[in-house]
Amino acid sequence: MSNTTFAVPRQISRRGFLASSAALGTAMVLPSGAFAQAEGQLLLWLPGGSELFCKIHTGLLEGFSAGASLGAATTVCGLGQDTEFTQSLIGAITAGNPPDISMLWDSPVSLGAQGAFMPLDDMMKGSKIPLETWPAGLLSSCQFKGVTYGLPITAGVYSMWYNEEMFEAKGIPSDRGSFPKTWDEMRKMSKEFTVWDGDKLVSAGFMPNRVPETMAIWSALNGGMMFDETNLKYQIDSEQNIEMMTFFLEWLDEEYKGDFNLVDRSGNFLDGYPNSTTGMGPAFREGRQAGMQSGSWLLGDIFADPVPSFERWNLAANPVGASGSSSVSGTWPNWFVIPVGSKNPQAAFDYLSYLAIEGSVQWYQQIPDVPTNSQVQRKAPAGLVEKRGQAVADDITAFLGEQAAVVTPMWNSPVQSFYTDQIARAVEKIYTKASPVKDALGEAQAATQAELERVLAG
Amino acid sequence: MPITSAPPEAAVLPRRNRKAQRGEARAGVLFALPWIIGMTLFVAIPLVVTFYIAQTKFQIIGAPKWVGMQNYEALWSDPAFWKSAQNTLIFAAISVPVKLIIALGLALLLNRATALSGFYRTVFYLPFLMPAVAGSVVFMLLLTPNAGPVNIALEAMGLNPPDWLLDPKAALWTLILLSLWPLGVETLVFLGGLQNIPKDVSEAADLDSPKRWHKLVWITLPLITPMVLFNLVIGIIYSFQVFTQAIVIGGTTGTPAEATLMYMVVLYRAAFRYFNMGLAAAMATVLFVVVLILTLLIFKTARSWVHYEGGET
Amino acid sequence: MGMVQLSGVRKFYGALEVIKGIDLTVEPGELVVFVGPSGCGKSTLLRMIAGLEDVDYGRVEIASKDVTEAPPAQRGVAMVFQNYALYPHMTAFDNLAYGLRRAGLARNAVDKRVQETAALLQISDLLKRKPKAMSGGQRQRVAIGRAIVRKPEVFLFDEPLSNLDAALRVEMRSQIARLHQELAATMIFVTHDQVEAMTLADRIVVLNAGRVEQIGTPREVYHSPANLFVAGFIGSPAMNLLPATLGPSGVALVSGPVLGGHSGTGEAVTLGVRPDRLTLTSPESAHLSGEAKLIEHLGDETILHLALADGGALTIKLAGDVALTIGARVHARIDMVGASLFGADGRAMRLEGARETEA
Repeated sequence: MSNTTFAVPRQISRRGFLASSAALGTAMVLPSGAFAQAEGQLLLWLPGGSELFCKIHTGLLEGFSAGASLGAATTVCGLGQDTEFTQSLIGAITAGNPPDISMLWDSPVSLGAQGAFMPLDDMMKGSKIPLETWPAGLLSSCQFKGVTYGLPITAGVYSMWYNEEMFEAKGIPSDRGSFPKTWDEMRKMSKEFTVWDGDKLVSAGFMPNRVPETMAIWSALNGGMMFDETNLKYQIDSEQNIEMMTFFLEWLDEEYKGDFNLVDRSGNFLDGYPNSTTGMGPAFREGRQAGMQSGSWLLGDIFADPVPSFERWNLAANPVGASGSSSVSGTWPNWFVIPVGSKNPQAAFDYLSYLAIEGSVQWYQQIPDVPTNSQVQRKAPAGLVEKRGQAVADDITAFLGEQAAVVTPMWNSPVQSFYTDQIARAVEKIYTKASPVKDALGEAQAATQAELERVLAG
Repeated sequence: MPITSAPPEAAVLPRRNRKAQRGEARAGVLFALPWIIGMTLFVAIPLVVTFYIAQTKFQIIGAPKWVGMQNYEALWSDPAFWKSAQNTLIFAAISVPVKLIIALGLALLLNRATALSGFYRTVFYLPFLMPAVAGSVVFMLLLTPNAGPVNIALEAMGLNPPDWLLDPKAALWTLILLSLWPLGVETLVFLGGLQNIPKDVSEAADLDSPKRWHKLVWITLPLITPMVLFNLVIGIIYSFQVFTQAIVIGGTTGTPAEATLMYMVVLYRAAFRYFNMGLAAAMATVLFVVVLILTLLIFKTARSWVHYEGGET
Repeated sequence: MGMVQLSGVRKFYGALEVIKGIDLTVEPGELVVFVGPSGCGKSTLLRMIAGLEDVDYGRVEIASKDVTEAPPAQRGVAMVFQNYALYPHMTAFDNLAYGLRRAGLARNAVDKRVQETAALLQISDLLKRKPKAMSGGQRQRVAIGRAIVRKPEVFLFDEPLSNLDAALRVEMRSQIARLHQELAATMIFVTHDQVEAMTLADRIVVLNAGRVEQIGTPREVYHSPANLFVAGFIGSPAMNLLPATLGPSGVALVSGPVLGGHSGTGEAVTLGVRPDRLTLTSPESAHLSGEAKLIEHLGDETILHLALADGGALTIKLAGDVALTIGARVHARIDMVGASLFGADGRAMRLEGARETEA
């Protein structure tokens, strides 16, 4: 498996993510087929991804179209990343000439609530992929006020990754069942691994979370939530969340000298990828970090350069906070939508049904984005089998399947991006001690709730 | 043709002139037409539309809905608006003058006729052709606190370098530092001005005083004030719109701790991340008015300090 | 007032030598004119004195001080440029005052000096204007004023009148002459206009291809050109240069006639005769005959251009308006008084007994 096989850009830090998409007004060269939408021929837009990713989707769509006696299908790979892609898509929708299907790397809720995407509920009834075949927490990332605006065909699933060899070196049992079940256990174990040389962090155990996108998972692990979708109320400054951030902050102070800057100067302890802005290698792969939370996309990329300095890593369920009761997981899905104005909505939906059940298996085989529909018979990714053997690959695949079933609702707000930015701001303020936990979360709560109400009004 | 007592030449001559002028005027309008159409389509209409959208709730999809001054009120109470305005003002206030001074210094060096001056001119202009995104990423790598070449070099010299883009206290200053690159265009504009100074005027100044700074202050600078004015106005307009470097470095939240949160970043994220076009348009309108006022003020004062070659008689 | 001394001055542009070793002394209070064709190096030489061009070899002394390496402003020179080179952003007053102010002169003193100079040049009413608002002549006077006001050892003029129209040029010429008298200043004046050179100069330096061809008073240069180049360059219309041989009985023109004076052994020479030293005569007594190709009637004089039978050309300047038509056969006689003789090397030979004009 080459190091370009992974398609979704979220392995890049949020910053790097933007780097590739920042230039406002960059001339976008649209392929000639991008707007040539016609009846009886499916047109699919992808936000980007590697060549392999493009090839897989082109092949899947062509195969489906041929089988369904449709005309020649067109797949447009990468109209620009993230926001730029969204701009193109919005432009095509408002111009009344959108693709029949589009993949999204951002929640469809915001634009769906604005009326950009077709509601799928009627078509789902009596189809091969009715509502009940989707994990509820996952589907909620496409739903607003009970209407489904897209499908999370595959998803990266967040769980704990750990280095079995580091565990064993300390005499700690390395099997999944023995992995810490609570935050307290995790924090206690973390200290075993953390070594400072002056102001340089030589090696570490686990880290308090500071990724804004996954804060909803940690909130759920502590029995809270960030967004109460039923009542349309944000709960960013709830007791559980204040408790969570206070726990993280104390942990940072106790174990990491209260300064993430020192941590970041010592290596990339944030995720499992080389840091795109500092160029520093991932501490986890370097064998300097015992464990971290990561999405399942790392399954493919972990064997890419830099190759891990150890063989055996494993996955475990996310531990539970003091106020939490059971472990949950989270995802970053690959969403698919049918834009309003599609000329072939039924054929598009049929393709999504095919993709959800059969297509996603082929996809997962080549790129480890986990298929989410409950009817899918998952087969371990070929690359993983090759590297770790059939037994481990099957075990991990089964584990990810279980995790996909206990996904907590996230990505479910019509003001998702605004919320994410507010969380990022609050987290930064808390960790840099620019503002007390309660105030920082309170500010984020007030601003996000106001934005939600503004968007929902009228 | 009217019958007059004037000799025919006298009657014909002015008529021919008028004809010629009409023809010229027509041609003039025709030549300007593409520009006029362009201005109308891409500047005037969007400007008016922006003013209108600023008074609506418009979430990109669907129709704008009139809300009056609500967006401006929202701006007034939005801490991101004030924070980004503050950052942008500091950025502009320092970046513009420093950039002008360095560009002038470079232009003065380049203006010396040496065998390599053509080469240097190209070298200094080249960075301008580099995409801003790529340039910013390179600087981020260079300025990485621990492993970055800049800090390794500074530490080797026994200095205690800052965390540059990671330290909230240093990040804005680092951004200002990065804005000094590239300088190619400003330098070329100054160089054009310097080369426009007649050689003999410069020599006359050499004969009048042996001190170089005398010539710089009393002769050279006054003679390139039109270029100073140009660079100043363009510099202010651009620095108020600093965007690419800021968003590449700080993302949409101005990491670290909103130190790099610039006005245009807040505007951009409102428009294309939060789909709040009304607020974005209101921000654009505020920026437009502020830059307009600043530019007018500069032009007003310019009369007293800018020397135009074709000027007063 | 300062003396200017150049010794062995040379200048290269790359491998090209443009000033090929010049020795020259300009006496205090003297007005010396550098004259020569374009590209002869006269402006370069002046700029080397001013310090605007480096001196590659040799030395430059002004007022007995070696200034070869001194910056322009510390040589005690002031320069008037062809294009005036006024500071365009300053009023005439400021243009004059600039150098004084930079030299640290007190405000009152500056005012006084500027006003005095302005009065001398009759530009007092221009002082508040900027160069844009002045005519060419006014600008040139301000430029001269800027030179004078600093009371330099030496004034340098680099073709200062060439951008003015004919009438203004004459006026400015006399004004410069007057200033030279009044200030008793050392001046070096570069021109390609020999009338300027003749009328202004105490001494003329004729330059050609980076070398001095002759140094002398205007009369010397005119009447006794040191070589063929000077002979051909100075005087308008130009001197007639007639190929001849130097025989035992005198100068023999190619066309036959033998003129007296200076005997030799048949070597080739050139006889130089000013056009006004030729008179019309009868065919029998003529030295030269030719066909009138062009007749310039200048009112008080007439200039005839003849084509000689041997293919040569001859110019004759006659007083008054002479009635002749093109194509007329014209017979001329040479007045050997004032004639010059040049050897095969182009150098002037002393013309012995030039007054005995008969063969």
